[in-house]
Amino acid sequence: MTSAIAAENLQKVYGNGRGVLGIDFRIGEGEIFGFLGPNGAGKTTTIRSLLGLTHPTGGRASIVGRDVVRDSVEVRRVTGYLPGDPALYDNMTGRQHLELALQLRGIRERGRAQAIAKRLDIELDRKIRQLSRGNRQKVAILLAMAHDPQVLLLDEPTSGLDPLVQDAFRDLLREERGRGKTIFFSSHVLPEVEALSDRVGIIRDGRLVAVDTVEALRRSRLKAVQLRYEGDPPDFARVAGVRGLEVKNGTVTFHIAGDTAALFRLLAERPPLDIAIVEPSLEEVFRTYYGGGAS
Amino acid sequence: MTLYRMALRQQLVSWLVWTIVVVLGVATVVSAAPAVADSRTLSQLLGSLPASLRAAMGGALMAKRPVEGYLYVKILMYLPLLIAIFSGFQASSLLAREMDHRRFDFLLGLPVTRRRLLLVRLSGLITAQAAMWLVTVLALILFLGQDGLRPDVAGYALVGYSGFLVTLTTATGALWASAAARDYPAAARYGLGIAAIPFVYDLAVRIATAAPGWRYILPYGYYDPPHLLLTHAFPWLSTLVLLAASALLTYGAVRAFERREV
Repeated sequence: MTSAIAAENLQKVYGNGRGVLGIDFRIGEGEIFGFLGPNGAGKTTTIRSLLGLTHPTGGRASIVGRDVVRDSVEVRRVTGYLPGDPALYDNMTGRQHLELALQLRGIRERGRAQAIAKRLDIELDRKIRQLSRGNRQKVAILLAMAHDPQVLLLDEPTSGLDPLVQDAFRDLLREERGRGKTIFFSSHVLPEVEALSDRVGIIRDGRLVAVDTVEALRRSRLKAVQLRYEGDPPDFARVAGVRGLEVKNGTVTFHIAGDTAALFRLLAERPPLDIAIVEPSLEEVFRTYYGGGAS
Repeated sequence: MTLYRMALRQQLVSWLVWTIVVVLGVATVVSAAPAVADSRTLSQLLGSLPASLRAAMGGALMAKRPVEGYLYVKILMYLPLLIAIFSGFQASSLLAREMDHRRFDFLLGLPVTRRRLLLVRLSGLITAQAAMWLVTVLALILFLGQDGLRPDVAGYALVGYSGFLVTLTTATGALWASAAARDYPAAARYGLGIAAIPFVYDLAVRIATAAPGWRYILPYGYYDPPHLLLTHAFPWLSTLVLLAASALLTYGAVRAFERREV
């Protein structure tokens, strides 16, 4: 598989010792790669380093074979970038932003941009200052995708979008993948990454702690379980995959990963008064799988 | 929409406000000029000053052409400072404020080099400055004509050109400071300092005539309206020195911006 994006020991270390502390990954053409991590883990720094917005302090990276530092302009020509908190010009309309972007890219064709704008219901003729957070985000998505880039770098792309638009956007990304485009997107929301990605990289404190397929992640996925019993609860410690078991005043809490059949058999034998099964926070996933305290 | 039009558009409101203020200042000063034309009070007042101060206030011009001398003392002397302050603030907002607001994420996500981006922004700033000088000189000529005084069109054009060179130099210096400053407030302070401190220095050196050569190490030293109005000589030296200085400062700004985290 040809690498559309590659990083070798990529580093961007700030004065406080934080940043990106040497990460390696290779992302193939036509792949959606989810970059998962809590806020401050180094997701945005990685993306900005890939685009040359911030200068790496070590290592190297390339996009479609071009070095991101030496061939920065060429890299940006073939890449679409959605910043984490898109700061557009308040006194310009979305259309003016679009015209500027396409003009600088030397693109005259407007059909694709219009199609995306229609699909995401983007208000192009209103000034940016008149738009809501979600509508600004939609304009920024259009700016990243209008020139039909080979690679998309998206920093928290669904932030601020309503659920319907999120769905439409995800469909759009899947279609782009179908057309052989490579998509690298960051998120701190586990289900979102699961829903969209072929592979997932998990970054924590500037280090890539895991790169795996979504399937593998799903197999090892945690559930946080809370049960309430009258009297003594059954012994959940003997159920495979249960971690962090706590029992207090008839309330049982634990995490479970992997096969849940044994748990449900036990629940059928001793039904609880109340049950709650929720997605664990990202921090809980990190604590459970990657050791140490939450960052 | 092009990058250049965008750079102009970003400055439009500030430019309008600043130009209106400068033109109103010119109008106010010119309105008193007819009285000066028939009065010897000012030249008598100037005559009572120490020689160094009299020279610094354009005494030779005042003695020969009181209206121009009066305009120099009241407005022409300060015009470069006013326009340099405008340029200093604009330079800081065109780079440092944009970086503070992370707006370059959009522009530098496009296939454009930092050098090009900075040079286009500088072009917009130069255009705004040149337009401000043009409007100011035209207003001066127009108001003098309306007051029945025959304006020295060529002389004022040379003064405007010479002043523009000075503000071009301070603008490129402010742009460098803006590219290197840690944030927008710091860049704005540097921009103001680059406009004002050399002006104060120049005034001090002009008054302390003992070492006149020291004037020429900073841009305001090359701005000499009394000489231009009396001789109508094209300021070749100013042109060469200030354009070279502006080019060097622009190079410094480009280098600083290329190294900068945005």
